[in-house]
Amino acid sequence: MDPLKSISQIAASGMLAQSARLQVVAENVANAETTGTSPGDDPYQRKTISFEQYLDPETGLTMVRVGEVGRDDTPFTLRYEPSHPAADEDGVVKVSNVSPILEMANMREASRSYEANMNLYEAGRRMRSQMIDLLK
Amino acid sequence: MADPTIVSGSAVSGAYRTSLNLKSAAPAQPAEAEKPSFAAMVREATTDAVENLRESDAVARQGMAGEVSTQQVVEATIALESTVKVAVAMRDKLVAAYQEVLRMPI
Repeated sequence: MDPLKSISQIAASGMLAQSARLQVVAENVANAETTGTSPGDDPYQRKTISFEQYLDPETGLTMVRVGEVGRDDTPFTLRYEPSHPAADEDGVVKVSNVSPILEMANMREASRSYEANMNLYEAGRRMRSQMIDLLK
Repeated sequence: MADPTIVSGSAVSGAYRTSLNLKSAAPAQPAEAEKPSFAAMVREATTDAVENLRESDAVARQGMAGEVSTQQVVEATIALESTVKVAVAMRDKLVAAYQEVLRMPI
């Protein structure tokens, strides 16, 4: 297979994986304040994402894809708020284990990796078009 | 040290001889196929480009309908751009060569 063409496929798989990561970050941030609705309910549990390498059987290229979207097992933070619908008999509400700082760092990294893949894609495209320009 | 050189040297000359044989055998057949192959080449390139255009068009339409991601639409469009570029460049080159032949004084 044409290496210049495969560059774009591989970089595209990287971009897709990073978008999925960013999607998970967005879900976490959006649900950072999500609690249960009835006493003792568990709040939103932070989502985690992992990537795995993937050998495309058709082209033999090693690409990346989303491996597993799991849940973060860190314990929930407890907040004293007796008037909350999800508060237990002691007036304590379980708040989700999303850490905004962590999510922000994750978001930054995802967006940088996306950019790196985008640059690779662009480089491949430029090389291809320069090669075609040789014909003219 | 000297052995591999000798072996590779003989292999090279063997390959060269084979290529000579190939060359002498080759021109006999394409004499008839020469003319159609030029037209066929152009046609093939055009068909390829048109096919790619249809594919990309379908992807774009799906993208507008929200069935595929924006990234896939962009990918298909760039793939189309590259194919069309190759096809057009090749056609230009072939037409130029053809015209060059036509302009040959007889």
